[in-house]
Amino acid sequence: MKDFIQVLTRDLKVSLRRWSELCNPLIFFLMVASLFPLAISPEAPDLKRVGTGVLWISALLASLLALDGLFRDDAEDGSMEQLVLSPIPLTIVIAAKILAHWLITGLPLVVIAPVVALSYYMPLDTLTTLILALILATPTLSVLGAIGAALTVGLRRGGPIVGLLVLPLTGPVLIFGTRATDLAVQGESAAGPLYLLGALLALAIALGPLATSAAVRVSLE
Amino acid sequence: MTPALGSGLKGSSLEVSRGNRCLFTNLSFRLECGEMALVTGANGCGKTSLLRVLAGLAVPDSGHVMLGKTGIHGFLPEQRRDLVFKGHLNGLKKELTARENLEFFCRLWQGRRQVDAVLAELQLSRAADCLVRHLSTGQRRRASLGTLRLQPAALWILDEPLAGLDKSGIDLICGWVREYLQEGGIAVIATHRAQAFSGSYQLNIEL
Repeated sequence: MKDFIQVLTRDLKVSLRRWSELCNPLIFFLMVASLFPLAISPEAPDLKRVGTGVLWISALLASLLALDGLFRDDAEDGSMEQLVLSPIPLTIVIAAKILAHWLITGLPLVVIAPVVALSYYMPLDTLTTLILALILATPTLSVLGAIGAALTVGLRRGGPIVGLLVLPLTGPVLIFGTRATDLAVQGESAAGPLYLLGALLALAIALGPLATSAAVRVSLE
Repeated sequence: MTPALGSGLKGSSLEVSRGNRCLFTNLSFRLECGEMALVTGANGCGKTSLLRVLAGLAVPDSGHVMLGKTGIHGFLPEQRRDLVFKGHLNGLKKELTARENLEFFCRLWQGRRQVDAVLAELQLSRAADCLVRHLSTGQRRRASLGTLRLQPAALWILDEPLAGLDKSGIDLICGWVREYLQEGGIAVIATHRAQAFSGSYQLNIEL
C-alpha cells in the first residue's frame, strides 16, 4: 500500500508539472460537445434529444485522447524498465499509474460534464445520476485504455491503434452510461444501469491491472 | 548480502536472437561474488540484448540465468532488490528534480537514505534541485548512476555506464565499481572503454 502511494504521488507530481498537456482532454471534451449544436441545430428540443449521446461520446473520445502518454513517457525515458525491475509487484505499480491517470484526466471530465449537460437543457435533478454514472464509467474507460496503451507502447506511433483496440471494448460502458442518463432525464429510476456500470468497474479493477502488467512486460521485451 | 547468492551468477548455454538474426549461441559463464565480467564487442553484436537477458527483462531463446539458486526469470518481486540494472536510458523523470528522482528510487527500493551524500559525491549538490530536463547529458547520467549507491544490491548490470561522463565522472564510477567488488558484489558491465576498468575484471565476454 505504501508503495502504491509512492508511485501514485510521483505520477501525479509529474503530470501536474506538465499541466499544458493535462488540459488537452478537457478542452477537447468541451470543443466536441460544443460542435454538435453547430452541426445539428441550436434549438432546445433538438439539443435535449441528443444531449445524452453527445455528452457520453465526447467523454469517451476525450478519455481516449489522453491514453497515449500513459506508458509511453515512462517507456521512453527508461523509468518503465526500472519499475518492472523494482521490488514491488508490477500490478501494484500499474494500478497506481492507472489511478493517477484517472485522477488527472477522468475526474476533471466528471466535474465539467454537468456544465455541458446544463447547456444541453438537461434538467437539474438528473445531474446527480449523470455524475454518478460518469464516476463509475470513467475509471472503467481508463483501465480499458491502459490495456490498449500497454500493448502499443512498443510501437512508434501507438495513438491511432489504441483507439482501434479500445473503442470496441467501450461499447458496454457507453450503452449503460447513456441508458442511466436517459432514464434519469425521463424521470425514472436509473438504478439498473448504474449497478451494471458498477459491476463493469469492479471487473475492470480486478482484471485490468493484471492484463496491463502482462502487456507492459511483453512490450518492453 | 543475501545467503542465496553464495554461488554467484551463472549463465548456461544462452542463445539470444533479435528479429531473425541470431546474436550469439551457446554462451556460458560463471561469476563468483566479488568478480566482474566485462562485455565487449562491436556495435550490434548483442551486448545490450545479453544484459537485458541477464536482468530478466528479456527471455533467451534457450539456456537460463541463475543468480544464486534462483533462475532470474523466476524472481519474486522481493528478490529483485538484489539486482540493479542500468540501461542506455537513464530512467529519470524529466519533470522531477535530480533529488526527487533519487528519493523516489530510494523509497521504492527501501535503500540507504543517503541521497544528499550521494549527490555530493556525484558533484551534483548544486544541480540537485534543478529539474532533470534542465541538466546536461553528463549530469543526467551521473544522477542516474546515483542509484547504485542507494540500493544495496548483489548484482550490478550496467550498460555503457561511462557514456557521456567526463574524466572525473569516469574515475568516480570506476572507483565505485572497485569498492563494490571488494564488498563482494558481482558486476556485469558492457562498455567500449575496457581500459577504464583494467585490472578490475576477471572475465571478458567478447561477443
